[in-house]
Amino acid sequence: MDSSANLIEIRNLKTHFKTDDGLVKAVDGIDLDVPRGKVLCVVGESGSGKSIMARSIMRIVQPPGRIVAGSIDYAAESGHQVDLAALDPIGAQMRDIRGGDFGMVFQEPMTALSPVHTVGDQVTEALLLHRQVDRNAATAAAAAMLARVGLPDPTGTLRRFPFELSGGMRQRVCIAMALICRPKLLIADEPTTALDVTTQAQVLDLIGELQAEMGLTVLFITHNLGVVAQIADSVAVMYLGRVVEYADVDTLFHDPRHPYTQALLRSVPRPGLRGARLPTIRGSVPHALDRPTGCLFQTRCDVAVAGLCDRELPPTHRVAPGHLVRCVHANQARAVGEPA
Amino acid sequence: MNAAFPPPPDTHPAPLLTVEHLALHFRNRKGLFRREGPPTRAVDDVSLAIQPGETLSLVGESGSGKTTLGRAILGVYRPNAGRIVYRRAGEAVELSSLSERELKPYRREIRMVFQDPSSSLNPRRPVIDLIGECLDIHGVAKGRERSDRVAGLLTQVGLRPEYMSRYPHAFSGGERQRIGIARALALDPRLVVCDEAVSALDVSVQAQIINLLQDLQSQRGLTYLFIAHDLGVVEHISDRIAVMYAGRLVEVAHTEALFAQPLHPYTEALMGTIPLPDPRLRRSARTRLGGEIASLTNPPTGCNFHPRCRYATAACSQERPPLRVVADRQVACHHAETLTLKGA
Repeated sequence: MDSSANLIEIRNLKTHFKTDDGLVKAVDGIDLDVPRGKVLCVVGESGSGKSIMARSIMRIVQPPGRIVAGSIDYAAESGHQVDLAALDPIGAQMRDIRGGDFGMVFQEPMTALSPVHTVGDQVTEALLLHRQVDRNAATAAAAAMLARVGLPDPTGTLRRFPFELSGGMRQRVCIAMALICRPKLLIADEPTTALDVTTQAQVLDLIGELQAEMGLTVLFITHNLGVVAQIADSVAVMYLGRVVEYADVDTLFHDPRHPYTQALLRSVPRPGLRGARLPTIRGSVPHALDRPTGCLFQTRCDVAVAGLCDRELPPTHRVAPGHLVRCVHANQARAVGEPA
Repeated sequence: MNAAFPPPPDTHPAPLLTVEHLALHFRNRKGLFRREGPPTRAVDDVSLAIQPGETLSLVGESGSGKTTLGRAILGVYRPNAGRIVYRRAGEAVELSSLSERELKPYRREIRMVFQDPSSSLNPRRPVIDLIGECLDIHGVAKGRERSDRVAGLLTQVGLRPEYMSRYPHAFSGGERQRIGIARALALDPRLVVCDEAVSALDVSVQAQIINLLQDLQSQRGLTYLFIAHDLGVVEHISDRIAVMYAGRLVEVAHTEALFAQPLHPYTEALMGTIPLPDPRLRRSARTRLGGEIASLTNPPTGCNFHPRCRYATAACSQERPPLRVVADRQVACHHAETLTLKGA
């Protein structure tokens, strides 16, 4: 892939947690390109490492978590290539990138906001830190941004505290905070999971509109395949700390090649199958300290080949331009999942 | 459309449980002198019948009162008005008028499965006690018989009986939800209220639990009141669906009929928010429901939904539409006959 087309290129990223019970390999060898100006969705179940991957890019992984290998190349506006994995997480350069070039929205808007500061203080903070503006200009910009994310009475809202707002309004404040410095990258970690379906739809629309308007690159983390289908340009499917499939959204939903992606898509209830048994993936995601050998999915896979899948980690196959699959069956993939 | 479906559902002769004009108001005291403010009308004038053996889903946004209604059926709250009538062996009992003690035998028959399997299980007790506790309280089984029953229940929900001495932390989220289900089943209930029972689970685990709930229903002839906000899951498992908005029922219908064509604008709006798992079916933002759910302390005049309704007319802000029978279902909308709404 042409490097200038990607805002971020992750190579062999490993983020491990040294715990008393053992080494948790939350992210274990991820290669991922985040295309510039597009929405990349990262899907996976709990424990797939999707949040830790995002936090690694932001360099906000809490100890005992640590990036132990790999690189995160960020193609900055200036034309410079910066390896985020090599920066000091609390150094000036990383802080400037984190607050100025990147913005992040979290799952729980109540815990992401400070309960003792007004909305205005929180939204203007990044602007005052990372952009040369005075307080008046910052307040005006914050009011404009609150209006843009759809909050009624923006100037009044600036003086309020988060507890005075509903969940949906709080998440809009978080989005305003993340975007106030006009970042290049927005990382959204399950931003709609804690919201109602109606509010979820509103927030997804808003992120889509802002993405187009500001030319944002969005890294959107979710476990909801419906949400993925609605907003993604491309999709990375993660399982136990690795990307198992990467494709554009149409290919992923209509020609998935990895048995895990196929099984995941089949297990979503959909119209026309009412009352029928849902196809399931047997077993559950293995414990982080008890990772299978070889292909990580082989313990639950219906097409695993004994002596092959349980021995070696399958290489990543490029089955088509921009369609990557980490499975030994990737190339004859049409047949995967069908009875032999 | 009438011919394809049974007659209006709530006229069935012998429902398992009927809720009649139920109201649940919570008092609000505020200020220095704890002055009484207007109450929060969590559930307001709700009437509903649950037929034996069916799965009835209760859907709506947070604040619609669906959980409060579910809890009222379990006897957690005393209603401010209305009745809850339960039928067994041909006799009808008004649960809402019983004392704690009189209610106890009925508590065996109406059980609940909670949303979050981690917080609903005591982390300091092994599985055998978590499930056995129900048997102890109702004096059902002791000693060897108790552990045999727990083992049997674990097998039924797809867990190995050897695990009964383990503590909740040793199980995954899906397995904990199976324990929660085993606990609900321990006393051979007839009605199980599932309050967002699969919402907190991962996709692949969610499918396993949905299948389990359906298997148990056919094995034991269970009746489910399924409280949920994920319409995809609801469509999959329900026979009928009741849609709630700001404490009131707005539409009650058979699943196919409701999804084919909703008759209440709120139902249409809810369906418009389902993110369909197919990128070719992206929704346009134009049909989105704006605004937020109506206040329960200070509800709008007329129809609760009128401030957010795209079809609202002057009448909607003046007169509250009653829940009435229209064609094959019940709807609370003045314009139910004239609107042509879009299904999912």
